[in-house]
Amino acid sequence: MQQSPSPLVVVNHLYKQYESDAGVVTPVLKDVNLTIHEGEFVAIMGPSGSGKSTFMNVLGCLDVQTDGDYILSGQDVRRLNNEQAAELRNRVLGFVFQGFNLLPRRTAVHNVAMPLICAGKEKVEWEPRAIELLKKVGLSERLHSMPNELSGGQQQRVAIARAMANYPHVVLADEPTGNLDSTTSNDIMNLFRELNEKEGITIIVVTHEPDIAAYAKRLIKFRDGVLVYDGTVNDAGINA
Amino acid sequence: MSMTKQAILGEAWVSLGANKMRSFLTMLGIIIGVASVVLMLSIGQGVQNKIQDSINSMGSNLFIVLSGSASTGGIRMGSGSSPTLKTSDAQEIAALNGVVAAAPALPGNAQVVFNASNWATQITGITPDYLKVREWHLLSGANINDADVRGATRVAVLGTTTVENLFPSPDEAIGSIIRIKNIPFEVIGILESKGQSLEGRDQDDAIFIPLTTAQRKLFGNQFPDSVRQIMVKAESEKVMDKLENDMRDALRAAHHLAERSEDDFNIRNLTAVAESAQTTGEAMSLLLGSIASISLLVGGIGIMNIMLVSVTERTREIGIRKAIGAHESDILLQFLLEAVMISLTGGIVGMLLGCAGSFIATWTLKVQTDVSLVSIILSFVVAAAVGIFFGYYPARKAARLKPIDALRYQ
Ligand SMILES: Nc1ncnc2c1ncn2[C@@H]1O[C@H](COP(=O)(O)OP(=O)(O)OP(=O)(O)O)[C@@H](O)[C@H]1O
Ligand SMILES: [Mg+2]
Repeated sequence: MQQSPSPLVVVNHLYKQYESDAGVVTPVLKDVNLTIHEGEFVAIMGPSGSGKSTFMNVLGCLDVQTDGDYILSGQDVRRLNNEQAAELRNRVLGFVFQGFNLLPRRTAVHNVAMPLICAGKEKVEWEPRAIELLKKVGLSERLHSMPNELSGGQQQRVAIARAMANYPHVVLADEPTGNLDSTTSNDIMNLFRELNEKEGITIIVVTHEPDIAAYAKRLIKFRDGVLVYDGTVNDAGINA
Repeated sequence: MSMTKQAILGEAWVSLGANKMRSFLTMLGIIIGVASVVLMLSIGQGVQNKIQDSINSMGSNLFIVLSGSASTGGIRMGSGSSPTLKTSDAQEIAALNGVVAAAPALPGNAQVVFNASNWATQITGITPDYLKVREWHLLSGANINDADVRGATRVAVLGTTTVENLFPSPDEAIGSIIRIKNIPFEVIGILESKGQSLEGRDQDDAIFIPLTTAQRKLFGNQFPDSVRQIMVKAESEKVMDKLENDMRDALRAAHHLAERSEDDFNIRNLTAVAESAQTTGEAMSLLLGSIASISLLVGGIGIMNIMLVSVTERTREIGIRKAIGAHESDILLQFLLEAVMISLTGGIVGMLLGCAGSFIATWTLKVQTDVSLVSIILSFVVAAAVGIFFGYYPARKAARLKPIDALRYQ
């Protein structure tokens, strides 16, 4: 296994708890320590409610930890202001959600180009890039379709193309195949594998299914907010 | 790096287009508000113009001294009822400092006949100064001159309304002989149109004849030298207060009034009357304008309401865009732009409707309405300001949403 030495994600003694309006505190993540290097393909598993999504939201700078450090690409995320966090999400991160989360009333091309548009790119720049990505995910026929005209699998491909648009270092995918059948799920996972192997993009995927996790090289398991396993997929006894 | 201006504009356009009916209804509030502001201001301006025209038609820095209120044996008569002023009083006043001219006049009503047509109108005996003081010019023909007054000639200068009612065509008027109380007068001149006076009387419904002719031949009474009014033109507005006192003193002396008896004449400062009429006009404009502004305010609240609904509806969409890396400032700008596009488009349509409405009002209300450039510019600025003001709070709410909260929103 070849890994570049620079750590992309460094998590130290990370805690996250939710506090309701009534003041009830729910601890979710407890003392999580983790380092992920550039070019890794990581699967995160664990029972429902164990804190996987919570962890992904912190990794994605969508939410902030209660305690502990999170260094992304050399930057201490907690010290960033809103604008800097937006820049980081735009340039370093790519998101793929379980529910696809495409913008309604915009074509596939427009959706894919959104991160570039947000970065202030002109149409002459974003349009070719979006078309190139849609071809790569096998949607060259549906460039100008609206999200509601696409199947779930097609929508997820558009979402993956969108996550790739601004050349991210890491793509975070929270149950990307949760709403898809097994054939489509395998197509999507092959796409991730290709991005990881050919372009060296770090991929972190949350899943409940062992055969989905089997596409990854490294496996992390959560139970009740505690990181209980960190090792290779093979050692965990999972086979593709 | 934030989004390009075109991209933000495009996003705003897509969002407004997604809810065309709602965008239109929101716009309707602004359309009605701006249209009523433009319409009401134009009506107010029209009324003010009318008042100003009447004031201008009167001549500036004027007093009118009316005879009257002579107490004869304890019985007070109405103002102007018994002639207490004389031609000589006008000469007294003319001699005072600050007076440009003092023109005595003796008005009365009479039936006028020309061939088969007849017309009841006001006949005023005047000296040549009278029309000068009133700044009233001839349309054609000649004026009454000093020789006419000295010789009490039977000549007449007519207002346009009188001409229209007596003669089939105005060209016939000059040189024709009309009969006033069966006395023949030669028409020597026609006056320019003056329009309505402040009281709403048609000033052009009039005939002017030499003062002496009126005193001796037409309205003859036991006081052959009497006049009912004296028009006094002052040099400037500044001297008017002092002049009013000087005139009072001079007239009381001339009329040999005892220290404690009341004036047997009335001095009216027409400039002051004009000013109060102007103030009334302005107050009316203000009232109309403020009523209209309320509807604009309601329209603005409508924008805020819809924008807040729109932010709530699009919470998830905002979350997705934030996850992708949209800046707060871009989202703020987009929502603000949506509000301003609604209000500004509404402003333009409302302005056009307001102009059309004021055009219709000119016909139906018989007031020459006046859409001023100021009210057009004002409605644009106010419409944009309404959009920014009422759009800002919802836009800021959208921009400040935390990405995770927005994404989780169901
Ligand atoms: N906003 C919140 N406020 C309060 N508690 C929350 C909030 N979000 C998550 N939790 C709680 O945190 C715990 C972890 O939730 P999380 O969504 O991370 O689980 P998960 O591992 O992703 O589960 P699943 O596999 O079902 O998606 C749960 O007990 C949940 O109830
Ligand atoms: Mg989850």
